[in-house]
Amino acid sequence: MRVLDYVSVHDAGRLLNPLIVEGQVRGGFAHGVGAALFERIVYDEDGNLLTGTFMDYLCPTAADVPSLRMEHLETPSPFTALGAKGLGEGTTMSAPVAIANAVADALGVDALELPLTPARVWELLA
Amino acid sequence: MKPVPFTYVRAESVEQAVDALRAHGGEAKLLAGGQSLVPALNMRLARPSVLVDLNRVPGLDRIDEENGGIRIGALVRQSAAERAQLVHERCPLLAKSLPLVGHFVTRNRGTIGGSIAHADAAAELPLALVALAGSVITTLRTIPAADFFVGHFTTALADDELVVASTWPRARSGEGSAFGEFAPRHGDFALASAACVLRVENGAVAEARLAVGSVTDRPELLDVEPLLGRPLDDDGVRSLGTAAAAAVDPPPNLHGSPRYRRALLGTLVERALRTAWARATETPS
Repeated sequence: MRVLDYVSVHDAGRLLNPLIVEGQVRGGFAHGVGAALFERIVYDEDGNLLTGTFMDYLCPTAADVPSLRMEHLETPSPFTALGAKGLGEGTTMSAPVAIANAVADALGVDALELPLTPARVWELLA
Repeated sequence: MKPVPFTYVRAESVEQAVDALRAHGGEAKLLAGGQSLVPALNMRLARPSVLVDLNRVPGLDRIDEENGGIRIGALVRQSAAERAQLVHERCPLLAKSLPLVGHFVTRNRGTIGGSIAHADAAAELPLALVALAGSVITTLRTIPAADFFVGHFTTALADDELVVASTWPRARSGEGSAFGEFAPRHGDFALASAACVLRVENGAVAEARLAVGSVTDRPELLDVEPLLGRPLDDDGVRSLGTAAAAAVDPPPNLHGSPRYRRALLGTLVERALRTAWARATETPS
């Protein structure tokens, strides 16, 4: 499975420091991709954690995070002195939903369990 | 994550290393690149009481031409082999498998001999060595690759025997090879892997070797008799893919059921055959 394109649009009000904003969006996207495609906590029947190291608990590394296009809307907040809003880790929440919806659309299914590992997607195709 | 206490011995020669192994019986472990051993020590999966460091042993870090093929010293770093012109010229299958071994940084330290002696069932180099019908040269003898690997983490090595080099036959004219594996992320242990060498003569498959790994407890050669004496066609590819999937019985792991791993293997075998054929037929035989 490949993420061919991903566009992230945020409205953080007035961007006080665009570099921090982009860093937050990128970092949040990596978290979201991890939740959508890789990260999974597994216990055996006796309650032993089977994913206790980063060898078993897979996180996306730099090479596994798809490329990301970013756009910003700037609607100044009327409630803060400088018109800024919060942004931290916003894409962490939206990326799993967007990726799962794309897979659901591609496969014509409406119930998916995350993460969408290759084995799970293969089962859905079989 | 700390290892249990161990004694450290630095060997200055192969003889010293053998002596240290003899003195400590099965209690000693050899340290080469340490990219598998040290994590195993730290997770206390391995608890040797003695570590015999081979890194100062001279003469084991050479890549030489031998009988047209290549001989790779046990201490040659995987990254050095990956960059060696001789490897690319003589042994394209090895050149293709090296970038799949671990990660860029682990290959800077990990050795060819270490990967072979470690004999992980999912490792790339043992699979490539078996597919190419190479050999392992030890302090006592030369062992054909197919006899060297006995099981997961198990080899034909005696307690006081160490790997000195491996020999990799040269690719002949009309030969094409391919290496394929599937891992959740690059550098993870593969869920299934396949390596294939085809030699084409007068438009037909004259010789074929197909080895599979990860799904078995050591690299296994599969029967390729049905491919011989005719051009590679879709029927041949598909029936061998199906046969490969049926021939193995992989255990379930965190990242795939046996059914999924068998299906992966079938696909990898088909791709490896097609790629090897394409490579064999694109150069004049």
